[in-house]
Amino acid sequence: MSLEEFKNRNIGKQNYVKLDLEHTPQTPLGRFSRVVRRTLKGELFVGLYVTLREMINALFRGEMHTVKYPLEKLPISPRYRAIHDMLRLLESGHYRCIGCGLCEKICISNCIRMDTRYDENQRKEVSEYTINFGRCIFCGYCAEVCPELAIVHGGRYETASEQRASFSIFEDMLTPVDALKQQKEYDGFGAVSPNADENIKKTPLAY
Amino acid sequence: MQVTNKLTPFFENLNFERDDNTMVINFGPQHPSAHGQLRLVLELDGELVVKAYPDIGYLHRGIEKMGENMTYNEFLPTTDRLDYIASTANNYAYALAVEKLLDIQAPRRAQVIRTMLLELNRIISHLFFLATHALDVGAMSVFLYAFREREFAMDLMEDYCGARLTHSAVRIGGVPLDLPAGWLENLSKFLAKLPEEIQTYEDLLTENRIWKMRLEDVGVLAPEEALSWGCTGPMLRGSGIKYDIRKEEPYELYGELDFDIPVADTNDSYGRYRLYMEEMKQSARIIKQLIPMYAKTEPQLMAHAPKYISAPKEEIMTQNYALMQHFVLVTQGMRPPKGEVYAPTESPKGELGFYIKSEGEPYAYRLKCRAPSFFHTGLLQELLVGTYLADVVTIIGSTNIVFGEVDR
Ligand code: SF4
Ligand code: SF4
Repeated sequence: MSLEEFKNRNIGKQNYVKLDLEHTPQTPLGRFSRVVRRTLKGELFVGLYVTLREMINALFRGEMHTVKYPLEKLPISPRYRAIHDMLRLLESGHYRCIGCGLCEKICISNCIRMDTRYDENQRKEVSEYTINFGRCIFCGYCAEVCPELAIVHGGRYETASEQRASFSIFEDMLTPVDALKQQKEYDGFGAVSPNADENIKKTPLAY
Repeated sequence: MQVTNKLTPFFENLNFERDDNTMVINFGPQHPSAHGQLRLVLELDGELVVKAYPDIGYLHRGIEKMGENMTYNEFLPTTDRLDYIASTANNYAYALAVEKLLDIQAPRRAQVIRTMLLELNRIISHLFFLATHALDVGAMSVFLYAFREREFAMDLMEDYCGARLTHSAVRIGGVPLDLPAGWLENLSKFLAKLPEEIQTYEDLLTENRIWKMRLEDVGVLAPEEALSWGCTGPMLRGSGIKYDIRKEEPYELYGELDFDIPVADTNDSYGRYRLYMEEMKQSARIIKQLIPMYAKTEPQLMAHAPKYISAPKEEIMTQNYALMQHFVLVTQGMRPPKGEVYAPTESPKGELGFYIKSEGEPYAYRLKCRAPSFFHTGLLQELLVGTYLADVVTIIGSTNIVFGEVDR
């Protein structure tokens, strides 16, 4: 390919359509007739009609598109990525997190801090787990990598608080024990696919 | 244009104290119509711009360098912050480059979903362009109506990936999630409503004499200049040059789809405005063709490449090897083969591509992002000279630059 060909970006042949646009007239007469044509056109009334129509739709036909926010709230989608929840096992009520640290590693803004230790039965226990929500970008990667479906996103999106520390405590994110029945699985990043049961094959060979 | 050399680089030959009638003013960086953090130094003779110098860097976050210090997967949410109006387009451009490096291909269902999301993002971005452009020129109602439609499109994005602005909706090797139940119906409803709404904007703007007066023959960009400034996307096609990467180097499913690329030959802002309107209709047309394609695909969402990509969640939770591989991939990151790639894509604003040089490490040796808005910002120093101060805002709006992408 020669350089000239290479630099020629005007190469399209198929499916390019030229828009039908009016060029500015070059002659004084052409310009004058355009002024006359545009002066006599009624397009401003069309515009007025459109805004009037929208106003009537909003005020009288119930098509108002705004809500009075703190009083009315729009529903958010089940996949919405807001403040995290730590889930519990349904059977035992113990928290699901096994302290593997994958979420801490993947976190893009390095806002997860955690520590583990052996408890009295020599089992691993999460002794500390905080997420700094001042830094979190709600990317959903922690939920995506968690092998236990322990950390998920919840629906709490109003994050204003008097103190920075308020959101970052493990116990606050953890489902309360008495609300275990209402605990819902998260549908967004990191969720198992809807037909997970069929997808599981007995013999893992590829990995 | 300023004549710069080593001894007198940009600012130093701007003479702030002058005895003739010219005046130097700062436009931005906090100007509401500067689309982010653009600072323009304008030298005015009366109302006429004689010199313009775009100054960038107020939003610099070192994203390219961050990409060299993060594993490939970790970098993906960072690309959201480039062109934050259509973040899936960035996610996709990055994922495509890495996929090319790894030599893997996303499964068909993922391709359908990705193409849908890309075109949905194009609609979102173009609506945003229309809204802000109209607001800059003074048509407030279009801004409100276009933002309303954009909210509906963002609702769809929220239902799919859980975020309205920073989507991260694409993964290297596929997509993270399947479409939720009922999503396609909502999408069809949105698409059915879109032409009506586009007609509303057209009624308000296309023939409007004020809009025409403000846009016609403003920001005229000759085809040769467009080429030599490295313009792409609607800026290039607005100057009558037929070049769209979706057609010339088809990626994803664009090769199979039937759509037209509008080209305008008036070279001015009005032609570009018409082009954006037409592109929105074409995007809707593309998505309509994709909806029946979705049902015909297998449910697999991520490419099968155990060396690079974690298994699906249910396998991780049940199978030991998949879990071990997942731990290795998360803690150490994937190690792509040595090599370098550049993958161009047609983002809503022009050619967006990532260049990656890999040394076989989990971190890229060099990562470069070729963002269209950067070139369109540089173009301002030529485009603005000889126009009036009032048109500066129109021209900036018409170039559709977004500063997340320029400053990176
Ligand atoms: S959502 Fe992202 S940034 Fe926030 S804690 Fe999880 S991984 Fe970190
Ligand atoms: S990835 Fe899940 S199980 Fe592992 S430490 Fe994080 S929350 Fe706990």
